[in-house]
Amino acid sequence: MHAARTSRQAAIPTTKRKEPSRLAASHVPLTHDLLFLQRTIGNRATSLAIQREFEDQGEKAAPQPVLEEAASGAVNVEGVNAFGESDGMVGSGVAPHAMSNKGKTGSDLWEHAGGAGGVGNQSVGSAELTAPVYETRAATAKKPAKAWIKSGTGKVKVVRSYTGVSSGNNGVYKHGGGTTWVTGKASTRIDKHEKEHIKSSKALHDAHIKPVEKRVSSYRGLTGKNKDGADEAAATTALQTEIDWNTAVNDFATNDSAQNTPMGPVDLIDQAKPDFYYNFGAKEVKKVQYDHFVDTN
Amino acid sequence: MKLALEVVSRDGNEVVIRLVVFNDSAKPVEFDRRGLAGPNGVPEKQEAWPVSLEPAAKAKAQNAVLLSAFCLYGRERKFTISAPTTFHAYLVSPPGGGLLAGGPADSKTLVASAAPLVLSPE
Repeated sequence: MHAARTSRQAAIPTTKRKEPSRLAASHVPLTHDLLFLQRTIGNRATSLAIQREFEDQGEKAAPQPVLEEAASGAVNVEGVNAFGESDGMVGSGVAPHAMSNKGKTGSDLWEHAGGAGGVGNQSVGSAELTAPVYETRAATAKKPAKAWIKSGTGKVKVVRSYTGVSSGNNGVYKHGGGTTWVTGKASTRIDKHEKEHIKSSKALHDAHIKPVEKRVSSYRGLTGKNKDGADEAAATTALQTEIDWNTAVNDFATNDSAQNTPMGPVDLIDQAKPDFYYNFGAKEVKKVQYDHFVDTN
Repeated sequence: MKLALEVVSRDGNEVVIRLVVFNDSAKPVEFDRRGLAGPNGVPEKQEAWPVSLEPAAKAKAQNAVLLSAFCLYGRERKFTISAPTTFHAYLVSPPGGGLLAGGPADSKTLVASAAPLVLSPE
């Protein structure tokens, strides 16, 4: 029914990522052929060059990354970037903008019989974060300083899946010994319960993560907007205030934990439904006596 | 009718608990065995264990239990406790509906409940 869905969090080691390529930012002449840059340095260099041309409208000032690419960690492990914004482990680097519902990944013996079935595969409140990296351009005599969010940053990846319960003989009951039989109907009902947890996480993702991703997206990379400021620090601060990254990710983590923790609202609401599963005690199945017959009403 | 939870035996952290339904009146009473829930263990700061019921009889009429005056009916279950655990039991009518460890989802269906029994591991 939960297991990984407890408040315990897997400690994900933080990993320092390398600084954005200053070489690409400051030593690549804007006049270079973009295909040449792509071949020799990579897409990031190309993107920076394109960005600078776009932003400067012919001015030659190089963009100045204002911080290193952030360290990694899970929501509650508290990796933070230089601005104190929550950051997390980066997977493929291609984080989806929708919550990833991977559904049922397999079946195992029931958790109440010592297995891992009927369990969420991720910790409640968990998410993989790539904190926004703010890039700026200094003010000129004619234009204010500008801040934007580096491409590939400012992303949240929320994945949810669960392990179902095999029907049939599930072995020894964990809370008092004796053999356990889980019916097909109970197994299906356990799946339904796990889907309720995923549904809850998705609703919270949509309420808290989607809006911040939308805000980030509008300021991200080459095609995004810029935030103006009297100087680079002011522009960055203004952009940070608008993005409000930490509030969003913390609200998601806090609410997801509260809703989906064992005996939290999702559990209690579902258990109160008439079709929930119960332990009917001793019963014979296929001429074998089981001590715990788990079925729906 | 009165419901009670009692420890029948204990060996370390293994406990045998009996749920007793007692007709404490001078008149016969009838209830449906499918509406009797318990003993239901709720360990401290952990998920409640699955609610205990008993299999329904094949013939509906056989689910009715007639208790004569001052007679007993009951159910026994064995548990292993590893944290302070509160056990609950109750009777609902009609049977069915949502049954949580501590009581029915619809309190209007509650007929009687046992005083909670709290046990701690040794």
